[in-house]
Amino acid sequence: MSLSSSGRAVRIHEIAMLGAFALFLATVEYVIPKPVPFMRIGLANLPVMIGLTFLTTREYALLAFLKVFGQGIIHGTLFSYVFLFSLGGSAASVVMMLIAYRLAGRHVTFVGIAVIGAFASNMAQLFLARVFLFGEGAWLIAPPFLITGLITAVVLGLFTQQFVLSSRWLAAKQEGVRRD
Amino acid sequence: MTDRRNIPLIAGLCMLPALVFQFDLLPLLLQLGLLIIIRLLQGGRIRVKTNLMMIVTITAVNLLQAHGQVLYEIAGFEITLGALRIGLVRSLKLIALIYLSQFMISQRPAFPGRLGNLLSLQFSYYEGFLNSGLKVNPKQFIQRLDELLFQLEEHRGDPGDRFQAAGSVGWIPAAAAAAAFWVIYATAPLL
Repeated sequence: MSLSSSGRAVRIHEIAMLGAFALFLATVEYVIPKPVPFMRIGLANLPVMIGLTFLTTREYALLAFLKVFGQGIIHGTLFSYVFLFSLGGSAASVVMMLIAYRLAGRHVTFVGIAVIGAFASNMAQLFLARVFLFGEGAWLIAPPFLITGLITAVVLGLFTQQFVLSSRWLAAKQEGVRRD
Repeated sequence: MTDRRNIPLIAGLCMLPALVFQFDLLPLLLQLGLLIIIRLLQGGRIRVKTNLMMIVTITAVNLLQAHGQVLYEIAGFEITLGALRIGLVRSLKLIALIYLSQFMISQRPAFPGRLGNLLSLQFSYYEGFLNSGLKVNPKQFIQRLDELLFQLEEHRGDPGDRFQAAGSVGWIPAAAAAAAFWVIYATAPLL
């Protein structure tokens, strides 16, 4: 797909806007009290899943980068292990969600895609936690970590499904892509 | 990179190896103390509860792997010195890295090129979201979000740079902080 320069500029704004939305949701998640410090809800994945429906692979990768890098800047974790965890988890989930959507988009709902993404992200983070923080003890926290990840992914997937079905903004974007 | 906004970033990059390769508890505590002082001087907040939670969680998981001299035994569970030390070092290093990272980006370093411009644009929209008063309330959230996305789109083309940076850091204090960090690292065997 080749876009005109004005079309490309519009798309850049859309990616930046979705990236900003991810940051906003990451900020919301940051202040939500959690029983375990490393527990994640994954709210910031909502814009990333929305992006699946109208961005090209390259644009989608750019959005994922903006999400991870922006979170690193806002939370001040850019040069810490936390950034590595975020990068590893996001890279794994983004790749798996993209593959799932492209290969079986019509047969898998966003609940399925969110679950696949959360599982990939959590496994990558467990591997990093084993290397950098917990050693072999990381596998002991794996069951609760994966179960909470599964539950939050189902909730997020249901919400995304609802958003994709009812959002006028997203419908306009998808219409724009069809015209281009 | 002569931009003043990049001073903490450069100083932090100089300090980073002295922290990453620090495996002794006392020098690590001193480095963390220095970073906390810098954070407070810059007007930042210290999240005591979050830090304590991190220390407790990481140390507890590390204690599950017995290592070295047994200190206590509680209901058949051995608390060992080696595991305790490893857990404390890992957790304190993580907290120190977070504070160092916050210092490094405290002036919002100028990232070059098109990617730098894209990040500026992202932060401009981020501010739009923050100022929108959008609440994560399931009732009508999608509708309100839709309205906001349309609204933000109307104001496109004004990347701006309204990020609230922390207090300015000069070359001399930044160099002094980096030097102090390396002095602690070099004198670790004496402590």
